[in-house]
This record gives sequence, C-alpha cells and structure tokens, in this order.
Amino acid sequence: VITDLAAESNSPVLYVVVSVIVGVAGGGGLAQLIRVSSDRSRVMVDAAQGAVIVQTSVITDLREEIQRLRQDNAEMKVRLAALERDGR
Amino acid sequence: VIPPLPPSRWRTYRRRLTDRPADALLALLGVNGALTYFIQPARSTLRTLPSSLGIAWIVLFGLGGLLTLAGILANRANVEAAGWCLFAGGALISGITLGLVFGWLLAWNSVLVLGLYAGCALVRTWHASRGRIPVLLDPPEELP
Repeated sequence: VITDLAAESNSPVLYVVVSVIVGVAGGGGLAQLIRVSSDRSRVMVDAAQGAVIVQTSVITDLREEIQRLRQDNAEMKVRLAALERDGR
Repeated sequence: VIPPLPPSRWRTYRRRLTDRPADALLALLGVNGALTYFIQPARSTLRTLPSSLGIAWIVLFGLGGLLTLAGILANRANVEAAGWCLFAGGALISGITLGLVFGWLLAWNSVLVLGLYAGCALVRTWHASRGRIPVLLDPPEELP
C-alpha cells in the first residue's frame, strides 16, 4: 500500500513544498549560526555591576550557619526568660 | 576551609543535558529519525520520498538534532538556535510526508504531533537566538 501511495509523493507540489521548507529552514539555521553570538546564553557580569558570584556549596554552608544561629538564638531566649523568672 | 573543587567537564556536560531533558529528547528524536532512515530504511516512512528530498530531510532532521545537542552540551547559543531551526524544517517535512503517504485523515494525530514538534522547535529557536535559557532554581524552604 505504501509503495502505491509513494507515487503520490513524487508529485511536483511535494518537490516545491519540501524545497521551500528546506530553503527556509536551512537559510534560517545558517543565519542563526552566523549572526547569533555564541556567548548569548552566558551570564556576563563585570565588576562595575557590583555582583558577587559564589559557588552553590558556599550558599549551602551559609544556610546551615543561619539555621544553627537561629537554634542558638531560640535557646538563648529560653534561658533569658528562665533567668528573668528567677531574678524576680 | 578548603574551597570545593570546580565540577569536572563531564559533570558539567551531564548537568547541561539533565537540566533540559525535554530539549535533549527532541534533539535525539531527530538523530534517531535520520539513523533509522540510513540503517533500517524499511521502517522509515520517509523512504517514500524521492531520494533527493530524502537526503534533504536527513540533513534537516539529523543535522538539526546533532547541532542542537552540540549547542546544549557546549552552551553555544548560535549552534543550538541553528539546530532547532533545521529540526523544525525536518519535522514539517516528516508531517507532510506522513499525511501524503497514509492520508491526512488517517494520520492526523501523527501529523499534529510533528507539527507541534516544529512549533516547539521554532519557539526554542526564538529563545536561543536571544540567549534565553531555562534555569532551574531551588525555592527557599522558608519565606523570609
């Protein structure tokens, strides 16, 4: 069945349609390759922008440190409250 | 404190692929389609195309997939954009051929999916040409 139907795919209309698609897609692809900067997707930061770049592990360490300080703070508040009760 | 080592090259490549699995999958579909045409032509619907058009389709679909993968791996926006553009053309030709060979009514769902592939590839071309990349962010567990 496919072999019979294949005759339809030899039609000149298909040649024209596929040629147009090949031309547009090929030309578009070539234009993208030549005209688009290869570094377009990279984040470029210079010193004047005042940005600081740190590794993700440093951020994780800082989060853990904040968590530890919060726990210390909570403990201190409890002890302070106890001391205030004793002082009265 | 000893600063952590920068990630290895292979780890960086793996992360670039796994951060964008859908993009990598679409590109692999293009490469797979072209390989099927070469290795097992009996399984490829595109064999019904005249040989010159078949070669043109392979260049668009296979090369498009390869360029897209290369662009993702190397983080090159221009290579990725060119790959998506070629892939879109290849997907369009696949859809038109399927519609002609099996009939538009019978193969409407496959034609629709291939048309959507082409549409998605064109959207990615637009994004890549403007340097837009998907970024994965971990939201904070507690809002400040």
